[in-house]
This record gives sequence, structure tokens and C-alpha cells, in this order.
Amino acid sequence: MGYALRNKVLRDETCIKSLGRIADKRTVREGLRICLERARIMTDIFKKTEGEPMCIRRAKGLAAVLDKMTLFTREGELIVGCYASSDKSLPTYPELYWRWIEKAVKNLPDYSAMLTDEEKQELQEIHAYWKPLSIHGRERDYIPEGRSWRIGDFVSGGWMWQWEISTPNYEKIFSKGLNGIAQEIDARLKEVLADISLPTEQRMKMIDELRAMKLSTEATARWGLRYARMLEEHKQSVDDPARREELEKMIEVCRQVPANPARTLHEALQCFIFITFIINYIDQPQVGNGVRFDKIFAPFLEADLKERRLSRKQAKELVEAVWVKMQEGGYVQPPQWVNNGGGGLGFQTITLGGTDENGQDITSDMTLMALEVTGELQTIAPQIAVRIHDGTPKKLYHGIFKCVRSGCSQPALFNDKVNIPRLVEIGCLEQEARLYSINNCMQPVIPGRNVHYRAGHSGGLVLPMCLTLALSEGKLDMASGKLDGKQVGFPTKPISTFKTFDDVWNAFCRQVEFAAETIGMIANIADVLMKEYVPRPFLSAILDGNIEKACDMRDWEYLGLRHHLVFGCNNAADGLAAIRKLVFEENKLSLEDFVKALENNYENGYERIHALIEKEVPRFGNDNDYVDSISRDIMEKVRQECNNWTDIYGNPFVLDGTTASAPIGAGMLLPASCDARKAGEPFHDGSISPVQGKDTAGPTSTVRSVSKIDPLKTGNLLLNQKFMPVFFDPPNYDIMEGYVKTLRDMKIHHVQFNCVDRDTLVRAQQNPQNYQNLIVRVAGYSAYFVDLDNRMQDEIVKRTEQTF
Amino acid sequence: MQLLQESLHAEKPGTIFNIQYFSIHDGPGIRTTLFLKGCPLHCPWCSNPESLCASSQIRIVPERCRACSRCLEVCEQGALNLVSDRIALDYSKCSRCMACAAVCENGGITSIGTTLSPDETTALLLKDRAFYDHTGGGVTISGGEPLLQHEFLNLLVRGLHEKGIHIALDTTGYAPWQVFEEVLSCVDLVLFDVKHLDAEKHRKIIGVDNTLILDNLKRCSGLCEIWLRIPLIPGFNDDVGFTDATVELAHSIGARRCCFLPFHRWGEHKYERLGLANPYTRYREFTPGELDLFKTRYRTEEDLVFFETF
Repeated sequence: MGYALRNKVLRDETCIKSLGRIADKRTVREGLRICLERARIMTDIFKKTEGEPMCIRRAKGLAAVLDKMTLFTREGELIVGCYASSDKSLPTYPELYWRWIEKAVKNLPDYSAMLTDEEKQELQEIHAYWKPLSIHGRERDYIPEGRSWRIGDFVSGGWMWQWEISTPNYEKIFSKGLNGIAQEIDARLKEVLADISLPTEQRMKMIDELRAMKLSTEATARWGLRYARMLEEHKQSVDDPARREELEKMIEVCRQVPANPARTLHEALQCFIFITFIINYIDQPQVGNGVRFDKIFAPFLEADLKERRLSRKQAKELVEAVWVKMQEGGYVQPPQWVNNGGGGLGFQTITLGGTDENGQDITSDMTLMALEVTGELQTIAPQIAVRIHDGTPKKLYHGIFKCVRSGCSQPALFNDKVNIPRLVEIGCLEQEARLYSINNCMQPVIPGRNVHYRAGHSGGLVLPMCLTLALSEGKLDMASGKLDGKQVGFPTKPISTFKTFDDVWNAFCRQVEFAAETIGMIANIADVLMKEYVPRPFLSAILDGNIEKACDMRDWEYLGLRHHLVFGCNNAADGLAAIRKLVFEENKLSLEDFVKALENNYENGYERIHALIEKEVPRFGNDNDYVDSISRDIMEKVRQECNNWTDIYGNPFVLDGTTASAPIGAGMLLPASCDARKAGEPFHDGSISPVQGKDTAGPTSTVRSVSKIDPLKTGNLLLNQKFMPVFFDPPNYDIMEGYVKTLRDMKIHHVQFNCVDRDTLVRAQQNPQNYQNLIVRVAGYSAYFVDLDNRMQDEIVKRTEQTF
Repeated sequence: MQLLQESLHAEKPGTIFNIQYFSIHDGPGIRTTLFLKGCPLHCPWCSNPESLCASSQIRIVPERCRACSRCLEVCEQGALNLVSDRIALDYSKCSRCMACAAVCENGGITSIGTTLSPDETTALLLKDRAFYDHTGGGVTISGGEPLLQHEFLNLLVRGLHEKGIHIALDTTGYAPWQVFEEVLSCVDLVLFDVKHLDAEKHRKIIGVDNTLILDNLKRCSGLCEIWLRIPLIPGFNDDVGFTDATVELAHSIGARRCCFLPFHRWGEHKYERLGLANPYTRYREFTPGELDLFKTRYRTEEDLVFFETF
């Protein structure tokens, strides 16, 4: 029996923290609590260290939390790690924010239930200290009038929340241990101290930075020993000899790592979890992971198997233990962001497959083991990205399809033929680019390098709303949906002056420019605030180059990947196609009709406009140039706007299509759009997927549409495709392999396969308009699922259930 | 010369009712399946009744009707009516002018069947060429009975063949050999339907003799790859005598596959929407146990015998 099965309860309980929260419409999972321990300790240290350099204060704060926080182990776990005082609680970070959480706890029952009255009192006391210092909200002091930081609420987002991304150099940590890294810092510190030829101010700052790195690195090394002691104590209360043996092993592991080099797979995996928990949950909330899991752990697996320290089954149990541990991650999120982020998961993506720096494939047994564990466990963390290149072996394709077939919608496939050239284009050496991994949901990083950036930290560019604003002189009243009232966009000309489609297009572009500038400006203000007030000495020490430079990771960047988050491109493209065709080519409608239909949500007599758009307007995703070319033009326009803005390090912004579940969250909040999408309905997922159910010409037609948009120019392009489970059965492996290879050669950036499951079909029965693309095929018979009568649909639902 | 050729092509348009991309059930690899309209056989288990009639048809989906009445205004025959706010068509009065389908914005009335020239069709069929190359796929021409439109078909397969596209022909085999043979010269794989080996039973249910079909099958042998496709119909051909003989036949003509397609009722609703009588009433679906008996029987021939089930 595998670890996860043995610990089914553990896994199910773990899900409490991290399962998506859209499904059950709750903002917070029941039973979840806020833990004040971290905030309390951090606040105490900050009060005591006033006047000291900020990096030293951050290091001391982290060290104090690590030295004092409650540690515990859960029943039956093989890998330990805590970031809050119980397995059902989450920390809060008052140095970053206080306003939204205080409001939420006061006004929303879900949040209120996370604290006792006494704790609420304490939280207020903690906030009393942080109110003038906490950085979220301080950007308002720097935003010019008329540039609302929320631009009508629909581009708000991550700045309230941290979506920072970076991947430390785990290989170095494994080989040197943190003690080794501390020695390296020491050596550098001695050099800098001795080198009085350095400019004085710079030298003093360097010394502070190195001292801060050393303090936090040493504290982290001590953390493992605290676990060893905690496990010793725990062992006293355990009678089961088998479990006692496991605990002894775990104690030995925690004595070794992270302070010393990892010698075995168990030690390396435990070290990985320690570091991840610190940088993702304790030092600061940070999403993503970005390790190349198979690359960094394969040598340990191979050696353990060779030396017979482990059986393959035991090794797999350890990997399962890591998956369950990663699933424990979670954050208290702002109420506004819960809808956008789909829960506290944290997008802990690990990357498999791909090449080494010379372009040779790195697939190993660890690659396949990670996929097996993912398919068997059905946890939602970690998320898996697999790199596809010319040398991807057949066995890896088979592992991928088996995993997809399990129904977990994993892994996502990333195309080296797009990602590597794209990194090279923004200044990465080709050999370095070949080492890329995927972090967060789809951002590239080079593991270990000082690549750090935030996703959507200042909002997303919701393109269909830019189109709506183009029809309303930039005005929108969110509450009523009227295209009037508050000026949230650029004051473009009234529609009565629009004579041609180009007038609409130009107004749309002006709205895009306005939104992109605003987002870029806020992003840069946020970066400066983070740099000034939230340096990260520990993470700096484990990212390459910072010890040598004796500076904080936020003082420079290895690659410029700051980006504008863009979504709803194809809702906008379909909407523009509707206007072009129905208003300017066929004179069936006027722009005023569109405005009225939008204001009335295609109801109150405007149902016909809805039907007309549905019937007559070509949709993106069916290989129809009429609308595909609009989509391409939009992406090109957005790219230009992104590139026009540079980050605080002087590198241009890039376009990013990493939208996660934000299209659902944003869609829920936003009024109707010109593509016949009604208020509250989601925008299309990904950045380039067709609008839900509008790709009715089969998956290859969609791919042909997508391939018209150059991913090198337009950044991450996510395509989600749904298939019936049968496509991933072994007799179809060769076909699907050929399918993926075709996508690879057509330079599709990235594709994610979802197996159509029972729930999807049930939703299709309820909302057929969103699922017009589901084809049912059996024994010479072919039809669209939504075209079947209810009895047939029920039958298919039943049979699909059976196939899992 | 090119002009002349274009006008020649234009003279032979095909009537098609669907092009299905990413088809993986109609031959090897990823394929595009072209469905041509019209069939000389009328098998009562047919699950694609929209294929039977050679010309365009009207399909009614009452659930999608929003009672806007625009179709009533354009119908010159007075064939349409609203019954409890849902559209209803009197097929006996309908002249198939398709005016109603053209004005319907809700999908309640649609026309089935489009006319395309061989060149237009070829362009659509070549779109997924990149996928064919990576999977050993190609184009499958199905129906209906594609040989019914053999002039169009000939031009089409010739053009595709010259471009090196793998072509599969899904046929009932019911066509004069000369017609069949001409098309076959450009076809790589025949998906050949066999309904029954007994001439009388065949005639009684399907309305035509099977002699021509079986003769054509034997003539195909050696000319191209053959996959037999056999609808397995309860009470008609679901006896092991027939299935054994068919598997034997597959061996004797050197067929690569012998695929049994068990009867299902999934096409039932399509009849109603086309104004056709439901012919399924006399059949029931197999129980999984009954199918397992067949599957077990041919377990030793798993490279040849397949069962297509959901």
C-alpha cells in the first residue's frame, strides 16, 4: 500500500486547506483558522529593531519566527514541515497588508470564523503597529489623479496579494548544505570588510546585506534540528514499532538537512520541503515553485536504488509524501482575490522532462515516477508542467497520457520550440534558456538564477471590457451595468462619431493603451515599495549571484519578465467581429443597439441581438480568418503596449497570458460584453482558448486558429482542450503522441488536456450554449453532445462515469 | 487550361453533410472524415439518417425554437406551424426551399447538406495535413454511400492522391464495379461494410441483394488494404454462424481488420428531427454480457477482430 493510500485521511484533510474555492462558493474553507504566531513574532522583532537596516530587520524577524514557531508532525507523515501553528491554520503578513483582512474579519462571516474574539483583538493590536508601515495601499500616494488604481474594479488583483515567483538553486543547497552557504557568505563578508577601496556607502550596504543573509541562513540551518528534537519527543508517545522506526529515520534526516548536504533521496526531498515552506509561506507569501523535479532528484533516486538504500516502491512513497506536503500549502486571500485565484493553492508547479544545457533529453525514472504519483494521488498540488522537445521519448508521452487519463487534468505541456527562443529573445543565453522551468502556472524561470517577478500584481488587462469602454467614452457604472457615470477608462469619442469599423478599433486600442499604462505604472510603484520595505535576505542567499554582488535579490534581475496579464482576448475578438459584421458590413444593428443590449444584459427585448451574434458571427477557434485575424491584431497591439513600458530595472514588460481561474472570477464581477457573453459569465480560459463552446470545428481547427498568433511575440499562450477519456487509452497513445508533436511543430506555446468527466457532461446538459464543441463518437455514429436528447445525454454521462 | 479545369471541377459539385476533423475512428492516425449525402441502402439501424437522402434536408430542433415567427413569414408553402410555442414542420407540404433555415437565428431550423466543388472540398480536407504527417493519418470519405457521387468523388480522390494524402473510402460496396474500380485506383484503404452473407436475409431487411457487394469485396482484395465493418444487429446477424463466417471471410480476402459495430440507439432522435419514421422499434441494444460472449470468442484474434463500443 502506498503512502498516500495509507494516509488517505491525511490527504483528505489536507485538501481542506487547498481545494479550489469556487466550486463550493465559499470564500474560506470551513474549519480553517488564521494563525497569529508569525505576525506576533515578526511584529515584536520589528518593534525591537527600529533604526536598524531593513535587511537586518527582515533577517532577524525570519530567524525569530523559525526559532520560536510551533512545530508538529501529522499522523503517519514521512516528510515534515510546518508554516503555522496547526495543520488547519494559515499565517498572515501584516508588513504587507492589513486593511482588507481587518475589513473581511469584521464583515464577512467566513473570515470572522477564522479567529476567536481574543485573537481578533490581538490582530487589531498588531495592525495598530503596522498601519503606517504596511506597504499595501501606499502605492496610492504615488498615483496621479484620473488613474484609478483599480480602473473600474476589473483590473484589480494581485497587488493586494503577493504572486512573487522565483526558484532557488536547490542543487547547490543539496550539495553544500546551508552551513556551506553560510561559509560562502562569511568568506565574501570578510572580503568586503577588508576592501576599503569600495565606495563607502555601497560597502556598508553590502556588509549589511551579507550579514542579513548569514543571519537568516543560519536560522534556517537550525530549523531542521528543531524538527529533530520535536520528533524525538513525539517518538516517546508512539508505541507502534514500525512507526518508531520511521520516526528514527526522519530524525536522522532532520539532523542532516538543511544544514548539511543531502546524501539520500529522503534527505533531499525533506530539504526541498523545508526551503519551500520558508520561502513560500514563512518569509513572505510566494506562489509557484519552479523546480525541475526530475532533474534535481534523479541522481538521488538512482544512487539510492543502486546502493539498495531504497526500493522503488519506498522511493515512490517518499515522492507521494512530498505531494501531500505540497498540497498543505495555503494562504488567506483577500475576498476579491478568492474569486480570481480559485483558492489558496499557490500554483506550485514543478517541471518535468526537457533538456540539459546541451539540448539532451533528461527524462529518467524520476520523471515517470512523478507522473505516476500525480495520476494516482489526484492531489491538486503540485501542478505538473512537462517540457516537450524533439527528443521527448515515447515512454514519457505514455506517462503523460496515463496521467491525463486519470482525470486530474495534469500535466500541462510546454513547447521548448517556443519557450527557449522566447527566452533567448529577451536576452537569455541559449544554453541557459535550455534549463528553463515553469513556475507559478506558466511563467518561465531559470532555476537558481535571480529571476523574480510577480504575476498580475497590479491587475489584469481585461480586453473585452476595453471594448465596452470604447463604446462608452470610457465610462462604466459597475453596479448598474450602465455605460455611463464613472470615468474608468480613457475618454474616447462618442459612438455617434464612429463612421467605420476602424473608429471602433482605434477607440478600443486607446482603451488598451490607457489600461496598460496604468497597470505598468502601478506595477513599478509596487516593485519599488517591495524593494525598499520587504527585502528577502534568505532567498537572496540561495539565488545565484547575490552573495557575490552582496546585494538583495530585489536590487537587480537576471532576466526581465515583468509582464502585463491579459485576458479575454477572444471575447474581445469575437465582439469586434460581431460589430464589424453586424454594424458595418450588414447594417443589421447599430452601435447604439450594442450599447443598449449590453446595458440590458441581452434581455428586456434584446434577446434577438444575442441570437443574431450567436448565429451569424464567426468565432475564434474554428480556423476562420475573419475573426482569427482580429485576435492576432489584438495580441499584437497588446504586445506593443506592454513593450512600451519598462520595469524598474530598465527591461521592457512582456505580455503574459497566465490567467489561472481569473477569467471566471473577473467574469463573475463584470457586465455583459459584445460577444454575447452575459453579465457574470466567465471569460474564456487561458489566454488564447476559444470562448467556451464556440470552437465547433474540432480540436485541430482550434490549433490552426491558435497557430496564427505568434507565441514568440505575444508571450505565454495557454490553450485548454477537452477530450473524451477514450482518447487517452493505450490504443490511442500513438495518435495523441502525433497530435502533440504536430502542436510542437506548429509552435503552439503550451497546451493542457482535460479529460471530459462526468461533471463536465452534467454542466453541458445544464448550459448547452457553453459546450457546443463536445463531440460524441461511437460505432459509426457522430454527434455533438449538446444535440442529443436528454435520455441519450444521461446515458453518456453514465457511461463516462464508468470509464474512470 | 487551368480555366478549363476549374470549370470542369465546378461542374461536379458534391453534396456533403459534414466534415469532421480530428477523426480517430475511421482509419489509422488523425483523419478528416468527409460525409457525403445519399445512400442506396436503407438499413433500419442507420445511426446517421441525415446521410440517406441525396439532396439537402431540413432539420427541426423544437427545443431551440423561440417562437419568433420569422420562419412562418417566409414559408410560401404554409408548411410551418407553431405548436405550443415550438416550431413544427409538415414535411408533406415542404418544398425544401430552405428559406426558413436561412432566417432562423436560434438553431431551431437548420439545413443539412452543402454543395461544394472538388477544389473547395480538397482545401478543407488538407487543413489538417500536419496532423496526418505525424500520425499516419489522412482523409476518410464516408457517407451515405460516397460512390453514389462517383464523378465528384473521382475528381476529389485523384487530387488528394496526387498530393500524397492517405485516403480511406468508407463504403457499402453497393456500386457497379467499374465505378468502384476507378475510384479504388486512388484509395489506400477501404472500410467495407458487410451486413449479412445470406442474400435473402440481406434483401429482406435492406432492400437490395448482397451479391454485388460481396463480389466487389472479393475484387477489392489485393488492390488495397481492407477493413471490414460489420454492424452487429440483434435478431438480424448476431449469430455466431454469421460472425464466424465473416471472420473467415476477412481472413480469406486478407482484410487487416474485422470491426464489429454493435447496434445502439443513439441516432434515434435524429430521425424525429428530420421528419422520418423511427426504424429502431424492432431492435434492442445488446447487454454487456451478450457482447462479452462475442468478444471472448474472438479473443485469440485480437489483431484482427475489434468491437467498437463506447
